[in-house]
Amino acid sequence: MGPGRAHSKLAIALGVLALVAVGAVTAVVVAARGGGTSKVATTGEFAPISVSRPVVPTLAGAVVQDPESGVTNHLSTMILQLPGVHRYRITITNTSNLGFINSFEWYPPIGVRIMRVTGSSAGDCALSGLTGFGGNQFKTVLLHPNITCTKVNLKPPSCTCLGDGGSMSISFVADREMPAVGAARMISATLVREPIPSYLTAGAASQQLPEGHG
Amino acid sequence: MSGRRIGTLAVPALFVAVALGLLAGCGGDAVDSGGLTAGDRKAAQTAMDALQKSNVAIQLVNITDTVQSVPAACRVHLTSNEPRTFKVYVFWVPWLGSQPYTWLDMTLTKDVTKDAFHLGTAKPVLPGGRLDPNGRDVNPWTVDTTLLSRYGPAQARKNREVLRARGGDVFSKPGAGCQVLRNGSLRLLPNA
Repeated sequence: MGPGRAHSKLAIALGVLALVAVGAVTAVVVAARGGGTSKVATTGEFAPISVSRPVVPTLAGAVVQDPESGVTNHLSTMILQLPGVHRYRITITNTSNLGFINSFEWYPPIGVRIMRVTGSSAGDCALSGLTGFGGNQFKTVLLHPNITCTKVNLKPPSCTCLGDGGSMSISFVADREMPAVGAARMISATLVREPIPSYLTAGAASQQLPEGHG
Repeated sequence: MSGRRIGTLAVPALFVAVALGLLAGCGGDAVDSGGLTAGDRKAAQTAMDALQKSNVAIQLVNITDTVQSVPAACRVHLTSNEPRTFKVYVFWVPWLGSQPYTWLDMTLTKDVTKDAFHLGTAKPVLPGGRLDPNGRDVNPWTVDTTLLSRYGPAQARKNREVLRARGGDVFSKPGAGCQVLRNGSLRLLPNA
């Protein structure tokens, strides 16, 4: 084999190697950019979410005292006594920063039993609660009756500081006088994308003031 | 030789190089063990990134704080290729019996105006009072603040059942797990 032929073989081999190298580099670069393997922050606010729970006192492995529950108020309740015996109307207002409240349930104060729902200004409201007391023995017995409302779609407030969210009223008959307003709990909601503010900026506040009160 | 010979060898080599680049780089139609392509994963992460600083991100943090538990499930499922649509499902099992199961169902597309966010809740235990120290009686004149874990294995089983039931087909392929971050962002996790 002559030196010319040897040089040609070397040139071919180098050319092939160069092409393979270019391909490999292209692969790595494109994979890093488009394949989702680029470096991402995993500390600070980019760390997985965690919770700090209160210390639960225990004695010999047993819980001595259960912790207090947090309270979330997405709905406010006002009550009005109607003419007649133990007839009431409650007004439920969306005070949440969630969005539209689609359904909720309202619990009467402890010791009060709701006998029947006589009307509502929106959605479908009916008595609900625990049925099947004693297994199947007393299927129709309703324990702890409360009122569940669906398809209400209460609009969110423009600011949680204003209380201008959607509201609706429910009329009902109780078995006794109502010593308190009870409690409403959101069951489902449709979140809005834009955050709902909890305070007004100076410009927005002046726009909200009614005329003649400035 | 040699011009001809070089040409003979260089052409296949060029093909190999280009094929390597296309295969590894663009992902092609190659799917991971969860059935997602690299393009799917990128689109999913982009859709979730669009939620940063939105009300959804705020609520992901708020709910975690309220139920005092990190999400028990976070899952991304590709529901449609044209247009590319993802369902994202986050489910919380509360720490206390008085707090509700909470789940957030999101539908994410490239067009953010078509995104939808549905929040649902359900009581994990029968309404009642605080569980007495003997673990058998409930004081009806109290608010239930019993640790949910104290209700035992039957409750744990119920937790898992509700989690799966509310998620529907979100756990099927193609999909992947996700993670809620401290700032309320969502991160797609790699499939094993």
